[in-house]
Amino acid sequence: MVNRFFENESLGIHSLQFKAMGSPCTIHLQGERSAIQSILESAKQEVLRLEKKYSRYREDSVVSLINATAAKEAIAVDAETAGLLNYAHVCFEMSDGMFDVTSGVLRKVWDFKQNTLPTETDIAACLKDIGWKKVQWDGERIRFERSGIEIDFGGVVKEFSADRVAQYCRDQGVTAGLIELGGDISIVGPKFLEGDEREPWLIGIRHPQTGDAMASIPLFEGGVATSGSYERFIKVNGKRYCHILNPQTGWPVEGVASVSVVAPQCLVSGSLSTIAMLKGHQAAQWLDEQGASYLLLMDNGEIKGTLQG
Amino acid sequence: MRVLVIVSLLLSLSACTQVKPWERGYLANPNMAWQPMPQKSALDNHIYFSKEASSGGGQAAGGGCGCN
Amino acid sequence: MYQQYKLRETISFVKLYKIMKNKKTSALSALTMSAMAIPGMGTQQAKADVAPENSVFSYRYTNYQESQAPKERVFSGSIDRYNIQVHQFSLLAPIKEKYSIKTDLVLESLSGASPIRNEKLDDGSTRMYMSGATIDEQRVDLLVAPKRHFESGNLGGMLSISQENDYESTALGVDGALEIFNKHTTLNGSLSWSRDELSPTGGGPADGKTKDSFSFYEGLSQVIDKYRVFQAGFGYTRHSGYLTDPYKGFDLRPDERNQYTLTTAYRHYLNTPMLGAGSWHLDYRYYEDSWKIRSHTISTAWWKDTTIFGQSFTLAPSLRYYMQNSAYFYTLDSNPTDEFYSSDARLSSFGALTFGFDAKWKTEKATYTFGFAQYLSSEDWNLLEGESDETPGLVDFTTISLGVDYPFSF
Repeated sequence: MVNRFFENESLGIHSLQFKAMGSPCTIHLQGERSAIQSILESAKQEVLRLEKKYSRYREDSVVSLINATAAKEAIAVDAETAGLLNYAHVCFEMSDGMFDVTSGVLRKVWDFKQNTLPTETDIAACLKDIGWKKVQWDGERIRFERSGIEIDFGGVVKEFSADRVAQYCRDQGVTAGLIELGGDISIVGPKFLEGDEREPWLIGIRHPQTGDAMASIPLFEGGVATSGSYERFIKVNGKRYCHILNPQTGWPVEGVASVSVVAPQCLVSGSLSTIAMLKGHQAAQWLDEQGASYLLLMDNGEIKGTLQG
Repeated sequence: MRVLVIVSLLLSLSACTQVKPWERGYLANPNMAWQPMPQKSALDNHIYFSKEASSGGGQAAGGGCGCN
Repeated sequence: MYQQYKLRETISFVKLYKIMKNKKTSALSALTMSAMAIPGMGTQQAKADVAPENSVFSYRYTNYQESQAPKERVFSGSIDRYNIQVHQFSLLAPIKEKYSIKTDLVLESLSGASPIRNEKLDDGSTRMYMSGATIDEQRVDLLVAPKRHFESGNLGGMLSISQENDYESTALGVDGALEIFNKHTTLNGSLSWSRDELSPTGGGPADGKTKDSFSFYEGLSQVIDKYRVFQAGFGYTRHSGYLTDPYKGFDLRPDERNQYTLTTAYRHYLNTPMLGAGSWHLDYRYYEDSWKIRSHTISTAWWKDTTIFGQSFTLAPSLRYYMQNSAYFYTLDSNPTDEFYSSDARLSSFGALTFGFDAKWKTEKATYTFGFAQYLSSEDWNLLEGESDETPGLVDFTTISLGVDYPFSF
């Protein structure tokens, strides 16, 4: 599903588009032009800072440093990374172990550019290096119990960045705007109309295959994140294998084609949508138990969720 | 009359929903306040207290004056 | 530009562990708490009750003009009734993060005449005996109300003094609000005490007499959904002391009055096809007291934001209907013989309608306000009462107001 927003023809919304974290990014801020232009630029720099800090593709990133060192000795991390590791821990517990930041190593056996499946032996070998329980994290230092373990923030960094940049804009005094990083949205604040009146941003959720609008959600604040099986997948013998892999089995999940979640933070929306995908056919039930606001499209075409209509 | 008020109060409580933080904007609109113009409300209350037999309403009575 | 994060205390693992052990905590709340603990995430959750950000100074001027008394019913005295000029000053200022203080000053200047008594003769005709037109009389009212804001509510106090050349009132009050159920329900309560002292011009039996009042109010506000809120409350006030009007002839009232009110208020954010989006207000009050007066007040208004010539306005037309029945000792008898008696029209049976219109013009530095109201009353307009005896002394009035609200920071 692709998220887009519908812009109202109001005064002074300035935007900046760029590419980061492998996705198209857009920042919309409302306000007086000259002030907003410089904040747009520094907000973009904040996104790039986080990309640089947490990208596993960069040798100088914090993630690469941890992955190179933590198996040999415990390594201390800064407060921002510590916050993310704590968050990853809570996600692990709350998802019954399905959301696991050590599951990134599965990319070594799953190649989504080719149409071949990995063997059971490949997967079994990989699973030995997966498991948050094999990571020692005490709130300050992180250590891996065996070499081969890697952490990957790919499942949280885009959503976290959206929230972090939205807060950055608010700290600069901007009270109306929206951050979109590849479909993950965090709202700076509701739009200004004439005078004091505020208007929500209209977030549109599109069907991943037909492109039709499934829902249009008015939001004053908060975040929206979407997970889907159509973003990246391979087809073997007519069966679709998506890129969201169960860290306990090593195999892709089934059941949910796409799920969008609304929550006060985009980071939380993203985690809930990812966990929902991992829960497969139990997704709707789990999301209802959490009291989440969501829109779910199942593989069989069924649409469920509290955000309908 | 009292029964009617209590019954409508209970009925509306049961119809209540949880408003998510991102939906708060409508209720936060200044026009939705109990008193969007506090000075006007204060003077209106004072005038009606002086010209009618009833007084009181959404708060304790406060001070008096010679106007009634 | 880039935030440099120093190593500092992260969320304690003991706390996190306890949260996760509690099976009732959903993933949503655990994740939210954990997300908010990440440096730089800020807080988007429902805010604590906080002191206002800016200070605000408000001024409002009102001209209040009563219609002339009907010439054919005025037996003596002036037919010109009251004209009152009112100046309201208000200053609301935050002190640090958790405190705020409100100061209100009212200056009133009154001229005109009022009925001394009303009488119904044997032939059925009525007479109003009016006072002579008074020279300017002034009233000064000063109120100071500090408030302490907490995570889930607030607590405040109030001290006020009202001073006229013939009447002084001192009052003290406390009030509090408590927000529960994730701020969807608010409990409000307030108490007040006042002591009034009379010193009528020309002396008389009322000179030096006092009146004591005690009042309490308890209310509940409830968020119904994202568009609607509802409030209901109960109030009680007790007056004791000298309650008779010292300037009226043939007027003697009990020395005690117990008043009860039941109020409800409703606010609904509506998007209508014809009138656009706005807020609909509906308020109702039921009143009864130990003088056997019962009244109903219902008022409604439509508050709407709009743009005219590129300027930001709020427009609010309103309508109020009021009806009361008479006090048990209200009488137009020429020679009343009961224990208590009064011919004051304010204690009679009547109904009243107020047509109002208010507007705000919002500019960058200040908001300017305008108000107009027309009040009409009649003995025939009490819809619940069968009787509609002629009630001399009822008044109509018109008010016009102009004001300004000016926010600033110290």
